[in-house]
Order: sequence, then structure tokens, then C-alpha cells
Amino acid sequence: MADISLSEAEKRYIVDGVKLGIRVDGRERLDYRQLEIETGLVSTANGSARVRLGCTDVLITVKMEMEPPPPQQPKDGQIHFFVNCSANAAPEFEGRGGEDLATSLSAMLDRLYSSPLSLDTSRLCVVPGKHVKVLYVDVEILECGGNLFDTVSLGVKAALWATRMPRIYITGEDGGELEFMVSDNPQEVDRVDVSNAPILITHLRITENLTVIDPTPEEECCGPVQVVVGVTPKGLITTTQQLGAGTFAPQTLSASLKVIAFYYHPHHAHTFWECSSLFTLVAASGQFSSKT
Amino acid sequence: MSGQVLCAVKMAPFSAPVRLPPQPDTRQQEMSRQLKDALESVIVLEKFPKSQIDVYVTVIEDDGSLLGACITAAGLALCHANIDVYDLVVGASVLFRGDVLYLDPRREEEEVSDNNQLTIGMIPKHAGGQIALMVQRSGQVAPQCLSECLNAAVDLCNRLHSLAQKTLLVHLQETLAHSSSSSSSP
Repeated sequence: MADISLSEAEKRYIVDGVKLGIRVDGRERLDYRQLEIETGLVSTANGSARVRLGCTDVLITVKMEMEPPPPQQPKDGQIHFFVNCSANAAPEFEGRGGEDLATSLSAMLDRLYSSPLSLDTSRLCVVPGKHVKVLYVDVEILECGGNLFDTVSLGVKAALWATRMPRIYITGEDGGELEFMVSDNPQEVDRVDVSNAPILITHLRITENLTVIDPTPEEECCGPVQVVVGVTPKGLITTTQQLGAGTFAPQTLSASLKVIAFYYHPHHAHTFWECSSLFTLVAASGQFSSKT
Repeated sequence: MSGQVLCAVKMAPFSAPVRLPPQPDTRQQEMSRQLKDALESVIVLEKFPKSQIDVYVTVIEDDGSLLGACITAAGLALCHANIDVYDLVVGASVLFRGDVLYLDPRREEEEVSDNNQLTIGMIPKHAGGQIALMVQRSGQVAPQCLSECLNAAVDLCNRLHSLAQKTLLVHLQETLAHSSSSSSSP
């Protein structure tokens, strides 16, 4: 992703370190870097969040619109994801360079939120068959410092949590057209229920049978293939996708999936970087920055 | 500089019950990218410096397990084109709803909501079996269950691999017989 070239010796140093259980920045294989989440930054959007994970920096905004629903799903609201890889993040994103990454990111987010179990879109319905709320989630990549998928998914969840949609009242009907009134009381807002929304966790295959999570750009140079797993607060897997040119042994994949289950188990939650505590943090305060 | 792979999966407008627009939509773009990822790890790219291998897949009819079928087809076509690969790549799809596993699901089975689908692309005879692509979508599933599905899909790939090998062998025998008969006749 980022434009780094490492010598064979440098790669060897990283890989051998992981084999011994320690990474270049002192983390263990399954540790995250310091994470900062801030919500409610953009006043023109219904919800926004900025996430910094190490050097990776993303800004996510949510805007709500009212639109007629597609005929096959008259009662469900919609959620759309758009990713923009800014040329500031990496020189190779200039022009159409970031398009590949952007489409794979937005497709991943689409799949992550496609299940009604992740996000109940029927609650975004205003008038069945006529008007539903559509959430436009725009992701702006400000800086690329490794582990983009995880960071973006965390940001999307935080931004959706912070989304406040003004309440809409139907006041009457005029010649078949409904009339609406949008409440301007800042207390009268609708929220999005993100208690079951999943996040992504990326496992990078660094060497045979060994994976690391939250890889730095240098580590991403050492292993071209990673598996991105979407996981809910209950420890269920919603989506999985292997990325990059390279192969996994089936055992390594199974082990990566089980690690996620293991760390999500309530008894082990404290040993992980407290994914679950992050969920509570997102749920507990409007503006915060958390140290892990 | 080693070789590059370009993949384009295109669905014919008549391939699904609903007519598809001729321009590739996001699903087709996504499949092209996934296929590219799979093929890049399968082709011996060092043998093709400064070159590009284009793989075009046209879907004539979609009756489920589409991505898996695309991978198998692309793998066979690569072998037919005499392009060096680490192993013949095959794809397989498994659907799971509740406790029931559906190997190689049909379109109707895929369309039922609340199901999980796992597609893998695999080179079964290389380094004890390596997975070149893994995609799971929609639904929620416990990791143990997903591992089970993965095993089922790996089994299916192994079976498909022997079938695909047989197909190549038959093709080779036929061409050999054809060329020997045509060269001996004059």
C-alpha cells in the first residue's frame, strides 16, 4: 500500500522477530497500536468520526437523505459507502491510483453491513414504499500507516454511533403528496443502533503458520497476503476476505478465525486490546480519545 | 519486474433473471479483483517478466457458486494456454444455513436471505494444499462453524481438482490423437 521498499535483511529482521514472538515496535503478535477515536467533528454532517491508529488517519462522515426505496425492498432504509483515497495519504493515490483500494474497501463495508443482523435497516423507514432514510457514509483516507481496513471499520462504527438524525413528523397530505415537518429541536433526534455492528480485524500472514494483527506498513511489505475478518461484539463472524497475492494454509486460516473467537470470549476479553471495551467506549461518550 | 495479471469478469446481460446493464457493476468489479488476487498467487509470475496476462471471464448463465466456477474456469484456461502455474487452481463454494451445509449451492439456494456463503480458491497439490482466495459474505456465524465450512470447501476442492485434471488429460489425448491422425493421412 504505502510506498516503502525494504532490503532483504530488514525483512528478515521483522520476520525473525515475529517468529520469536516480538515485533519491531515491541508489540506482541496480537497487540494493537495506540488508538484514538474522536466523534462529532464535522458540523455539516449528521455524524462524523476521526480515527488514528498509529500513523493511519481516517475521517468518516455520515449524511442522511430521504429517498424513495427500491421496489424490491419497500420497507428498508439503505446505507451506502463511498471511499476516497486522498492523494495526501500516499503519492500513488494521485489521479485514479487509489480507485482499486477504494472499491475494495467500500465493497468490504457493504458486505459488513449487508446483513439485517448487523444493522437493522427497517428502522430507517419513514413511509413504507414511499420514503426511507438513506445513510451516505463517506470515508476519507487522510494518511496510510498500515491496517487501513480495521481503522476504517472502527471509524464507520463510531460515526454511525455519533449520527443524530432530526426527527421527522408527517403533518398532512396534499393531493396524494405527504407533507413533512423536520424537528429543529436538538433534543429530538433519532440514533442508529450500532450495538451489533461488526468491525474488521486483519490478520497478516508474515511467515508460514504465523499471523500478526494490526500490521505496520513495514510488516505489510514482508507478507503480501492478509485475511480480513468482520466480527460482531458477540464474537460471530460476518464476513471474511483474503486480500493480496499469496496463499494461506487452511490450518493457518482456521487458527486465525479461532484466535478471534478466543479473544472475544468474555473471559479473555481483558487480554485483547479490549475490543469489547472499545465498544463500550463508543457507546458511552460523545467525544473521547482512548488509550489502549 | 515480474509479470502482471489483468482479470475481467463480465456477466452477459441475459445471465441472470433480471437483465443486467452492459457496464460492469460493483459486483463484477469485485469479482474481477478477487479473481486477480487468486490468479496472482497461482501463476509463476517470475517466468513472465515485462508481460501481462489477461484473463477474461464471460458469464453466460449464473446458477450459483459463480465465483468458484470462474476460478476453476480461469485455472483450466491458464493450463490450456500453457502458462506456468504452481498447481491447477480450483474454486468451490459452500453455503450454510443453521446446521445444514449446502455444497455447490444453486442460485435459488443462494437467494434465500439469512445464509452464509463461503467461496475458496485453492491449489490442493502445492505445499500440502494452499488457499489462494477466501471470501465469505452475509450472515453471522461462529468461528468453529466457519472452520467446519472451510474444511468442507477444501474437501470439495480436492474432488474438483482430480476432475479438472482428468479433463485436461482427456483434452490432451484428444488433441494428440487428432494431430497424429491428421499428420499421417497425407
